Amino acid sequence: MNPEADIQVDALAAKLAWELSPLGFVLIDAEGRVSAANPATARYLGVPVDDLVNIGEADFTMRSKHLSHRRIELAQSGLRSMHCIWRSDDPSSANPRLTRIAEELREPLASIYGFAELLIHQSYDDETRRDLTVTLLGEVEVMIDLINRQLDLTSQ
Amino acid sequence: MKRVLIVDDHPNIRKMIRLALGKSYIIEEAGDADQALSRIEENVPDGIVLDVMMPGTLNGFQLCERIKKDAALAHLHVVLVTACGQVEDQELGYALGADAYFVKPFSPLALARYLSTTLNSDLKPPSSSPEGEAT
Repeated sequence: MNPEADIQVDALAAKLAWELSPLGFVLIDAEGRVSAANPATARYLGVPVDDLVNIGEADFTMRSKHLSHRRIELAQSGLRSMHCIWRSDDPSSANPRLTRIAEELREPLASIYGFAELLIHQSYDDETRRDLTVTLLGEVEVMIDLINRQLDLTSQ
Repeated sequence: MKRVLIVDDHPNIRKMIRLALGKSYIIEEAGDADQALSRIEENVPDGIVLDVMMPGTLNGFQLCERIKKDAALAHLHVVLVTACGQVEDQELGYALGADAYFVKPFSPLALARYLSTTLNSDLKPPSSSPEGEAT
């Protein structure tokens, strides 16, 4: 096989591994942001690939904290590192998808709980009370949207 | 007057904490760790209310660790306020030097009482009209 054909085969093999591997692969650029993630990563984290691109490396590490994980330094061609993630065989380990969903729901729930508490226990004028109530209802809508998105992902 | 820095990428969480703390403190806000570091450089606060999962190159755990390893900032009282509610998350937070750990959802008024006590403020948390507009 000539060298050019070798390169084409290598590129094809890399593409197949990227697309079909059960392992999650993520590339981190020189600025410390996700530049690419493969489909397995999206499945593990329960979000579309597009939602992962451009998030910070620390953010990605937090999202994948309940998965087995290895980080490989690259320092080449504009890339800082590659992360490889996979699900642990340990049956006692937390389900990362459920953990992530719970953490996402806790954010709007925190606002709903907090603004409700303030409205009950603090005194505000009518304009402020209305503003806080509108904010609270907005967070309820955020929560409904999160739940609907999860149901959509589950049905796919 | 004590200075408190609220770091969270959700504006409504910052607004809620700011309202709960009322006018007992000089309050500053940041939406990520980089902004927080800039605020701290300008004015070192007495306390920092710090989210964990934020966009950017540093998360809250990493910022907490950086603060606590900096001799000039180690005295700063760090309260982690986060949706990361698992036991190992809390253990990690305390291991990195956090002084307190609140799991979302949490009581903003309990947070205000906690800060009032721990920052040795003579001022009590607001019992009414924390953001002006007394009724």
